[in-house]
Amino acid sequence: MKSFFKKIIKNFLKVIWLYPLFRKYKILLRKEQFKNFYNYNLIKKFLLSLKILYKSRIVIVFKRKALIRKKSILFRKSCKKMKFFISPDDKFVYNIDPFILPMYFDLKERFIIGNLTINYAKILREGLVKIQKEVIKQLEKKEISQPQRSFLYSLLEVYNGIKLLRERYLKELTKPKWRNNQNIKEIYKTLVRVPLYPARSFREVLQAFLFINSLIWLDDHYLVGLGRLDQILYPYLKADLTKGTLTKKEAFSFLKEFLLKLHRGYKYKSNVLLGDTGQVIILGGKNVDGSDASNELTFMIMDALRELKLPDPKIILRVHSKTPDELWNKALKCLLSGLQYPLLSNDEVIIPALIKFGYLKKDAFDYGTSACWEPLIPGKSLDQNNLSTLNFLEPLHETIEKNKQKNFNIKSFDDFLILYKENLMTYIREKVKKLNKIDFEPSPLLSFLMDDCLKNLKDVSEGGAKYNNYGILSVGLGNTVNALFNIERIVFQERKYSFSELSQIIKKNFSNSEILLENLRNKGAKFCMDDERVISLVNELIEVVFQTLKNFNNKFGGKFKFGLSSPAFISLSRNFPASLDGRKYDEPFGVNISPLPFSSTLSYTEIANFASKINYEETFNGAVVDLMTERNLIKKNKEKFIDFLKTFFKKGGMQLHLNVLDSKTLIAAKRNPGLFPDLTVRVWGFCAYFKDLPEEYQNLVIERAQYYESISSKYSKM
Amino acid sequence: MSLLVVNIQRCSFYDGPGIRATVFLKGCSLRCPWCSNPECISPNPQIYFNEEKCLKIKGINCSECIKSRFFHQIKNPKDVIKINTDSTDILNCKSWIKNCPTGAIGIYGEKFEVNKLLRILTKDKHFYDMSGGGVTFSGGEPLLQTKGLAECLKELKKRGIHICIETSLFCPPDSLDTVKELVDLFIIDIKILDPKECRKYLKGDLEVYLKNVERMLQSQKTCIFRFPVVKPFTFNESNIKLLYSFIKKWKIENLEIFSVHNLAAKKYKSLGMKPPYFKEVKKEELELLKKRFLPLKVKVRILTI
Repeated sequence: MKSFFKKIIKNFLKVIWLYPLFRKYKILLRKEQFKNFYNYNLIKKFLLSLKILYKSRIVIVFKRKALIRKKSILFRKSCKKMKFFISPDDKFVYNIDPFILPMYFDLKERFIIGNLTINYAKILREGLVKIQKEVIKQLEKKEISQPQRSFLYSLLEVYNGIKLLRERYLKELTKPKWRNNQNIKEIYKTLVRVPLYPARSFREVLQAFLFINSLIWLDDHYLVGLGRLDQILYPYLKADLTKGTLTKKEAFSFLKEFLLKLHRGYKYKSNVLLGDTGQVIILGGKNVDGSDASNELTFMIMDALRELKLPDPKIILRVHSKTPDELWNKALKCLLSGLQYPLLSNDEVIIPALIKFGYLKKDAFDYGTSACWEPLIPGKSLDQNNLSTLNFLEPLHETIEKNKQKNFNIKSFDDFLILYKENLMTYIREKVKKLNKIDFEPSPLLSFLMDDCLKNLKDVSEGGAKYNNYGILSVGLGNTVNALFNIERIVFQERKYSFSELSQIIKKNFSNSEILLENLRNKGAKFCMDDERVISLVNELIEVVFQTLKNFNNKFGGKFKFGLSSPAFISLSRNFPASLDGRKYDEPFGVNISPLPFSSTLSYTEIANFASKINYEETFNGAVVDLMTERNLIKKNKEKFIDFLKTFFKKGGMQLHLNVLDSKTLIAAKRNPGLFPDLTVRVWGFCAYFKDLPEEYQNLVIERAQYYESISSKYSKM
Repeated sequence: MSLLVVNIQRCSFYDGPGIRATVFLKGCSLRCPWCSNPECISPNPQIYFNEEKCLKIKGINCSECIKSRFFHQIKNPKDVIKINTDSTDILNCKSWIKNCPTGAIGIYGEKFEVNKLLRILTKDKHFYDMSGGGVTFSGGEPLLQTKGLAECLKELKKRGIHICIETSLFCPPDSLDTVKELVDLFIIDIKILDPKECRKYLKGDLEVYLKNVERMLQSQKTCIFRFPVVKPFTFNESNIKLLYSFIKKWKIENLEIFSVHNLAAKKYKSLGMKPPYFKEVKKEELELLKKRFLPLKVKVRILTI
């Protein structure tokens, strides 16, 4: 009933033009009181609404034009209305103004594009004027069609918007009150040049980067990636250092200021939880010739973030066989400082997988990631890597339900497994069909900034980019694997339970079945054991998903990728029935690739051995081994720990992230958040302050920390 | 051949160089009052009971252990530790011990065929190779199971895996000879160096120890000596003096010292024993102790867990 009314209201809002405005308004309302929002009562919510309304500025398009034109006009208007703030100590200007409410008419339900990275390197090198000239060149061609013309006009509109904003900044900076301020004069000088023209110095390139980044946020995209920052910025730093126009110390302070600016708008940039901004900095990596890509700036960025102690932006470090030891040490130092990054990503596995999937070799070596860790090509990929999440448990429960009457038909576990796989395939097919109905909202700004849209004369929302693949994530693989082994044992070997009994037990959430529950949790082979049977079952299931997805193309002709990690281990587990791995109703699913917290303790090498045998070629859309360790363990054994990581990646592990925590601190921090204001934990692709997390996430982190402590302690705790 | 193993701890960072797997063997010749592996003392398998995990104690109607026909004398899960465990009994027990859904009841000590053990130990070979690690045998006293051990060591040697043995050296001299050549590193305990006190507190014959030490040092093997610092047993003026002259006499190069801890309390309880309590020796005291050895050439390292 409730959803029915919601639908009516939604449609009503659409007809009277107010839907986009309402959507944004709702987001702002949530973000204003990020953590406590749902606990607020009506009056408080109402007052909050008024506050936001007061702060907001509405931009509106009346003209009857194609949606893409409307969007470009809205962007120009937002540039005109955007509020900015300049302080006398600034070295750069960077402003996030979320309080712009766009209003336009659009009846269709559309998906806003986000979670991608543009090609900063190219834009900073060439300047926006060059793109604008190309647009005009394209417009002069005679053979272009009306929609294409309209697309090109939208791009010009976007350019005009950017120019307008720059002029507003310049005007502000020349105000008499700044007359004696050297900083402001410098900013003025850089803004005269960038981002319209190519950047010439380190300072200019940082300013240009910030300027362009802020535009994407202004246009209401979410999870805006930062790309391979050390590769993008280093040429400018190197030139400055060799010319002698900049000292390393100055460069470092610029860099810190730059990163601090990127941290601005933390709350409004956050997506699902506070801290989930998608601002990922990719560092290091392997070059096409096999050499290591890291440089001075790689180290400087890590040092700067460590000194700033910011959970956001965060780092993904691309490692490979030739990653220098100093970089490993630096990465470990960063982890030990409690920032919970970098996440480590193995080029030796990912690059071949990307090439095999169909990315060009040159592009594959330049890979970046979506907001968490799913590989894509910055500037060249529309790749929506987190469009949907598979839940491996759903088809399992369906299989049990379907077969509870005809238990006798299934003679062996192998037969059951075949039935499960069939259900899994059907389930995937349905998911994919839904995905192909998605329409994306046009984004002339992204089309302007992405590589191939202009060449293809197509908006990014219509497949203008070079790569247009869709990515699917998954949850519950570990739970399903454990459940399958349990079913094999209790149904087919011990013959103690039938499917109809199991179905009842699931429905009753193990009440009065505590003995069975413990049995399921403690006995048998478990996910993450380096046991031949576990590994082959995991790879079999991956193969099923891969082979099913292989048969589909999305509406742009792109393919479907699939990964083993997902942020949805809590959100999808809400109200999900108990499962036969011993997980109760509503309890979270397993987190990424990691042992389930109630299964017997497995050593780090065991988990690493297991994870390095997964067939990543078929599941490279993010596959993160999710470990936790006590700080002391690493601190006292730095070299051994680096050797552990190196071996894991050498053996074929794909990605790994590490929470360096101890449960005692976490429990204390939960009780007394004020005493640990900057205690940071990694949640999924992002790091956040522990105090900002909802309680269920806090509990899960504590529970997992306790599990890992029982692994790493020297003396068995039984 | 087989070995009686209590626990295999993979990915250990503490028992020797690099990343290691430590195999804890059952059976010990000493009875140190501060023992941190009480489950490794007896040479026979032992049934344990971990109260925290028992469903019945939590108030749930579980009787998986009591149901068993073999042990009609048990009325309470707690009683399992009273079962007299000579090896024939244990075989019978295994079938119903498996029934315990939580693992509250279990057995310390499992017979591992050498091949089975090797399969587990070689799984982490890449990690040993990268880090200069390998396999460590500890216990209990690993040199009490030399027959199986020697076979296992030979196989490990063949596979190029670094071998370390943690021993008290209170063992028959010929068992030391059987394995000596196969081992790359010995970690040898130094405990109480006064013969009378040694017999009184550790139930060990110091003469055997000293002879073995002599043989070891003559054979030019790499050895690290380890000294557990426990008040009042090892950390008293006379014993430190004896230690000083011991190091001087044998020109010992590497000494590791560490304070005992009370982390084994749960394991004591699970065997129905009363856990001993020792006050941990403070870091400052260990530093002071380290300073006393400065006049000698020995390298002293303080270990912390």
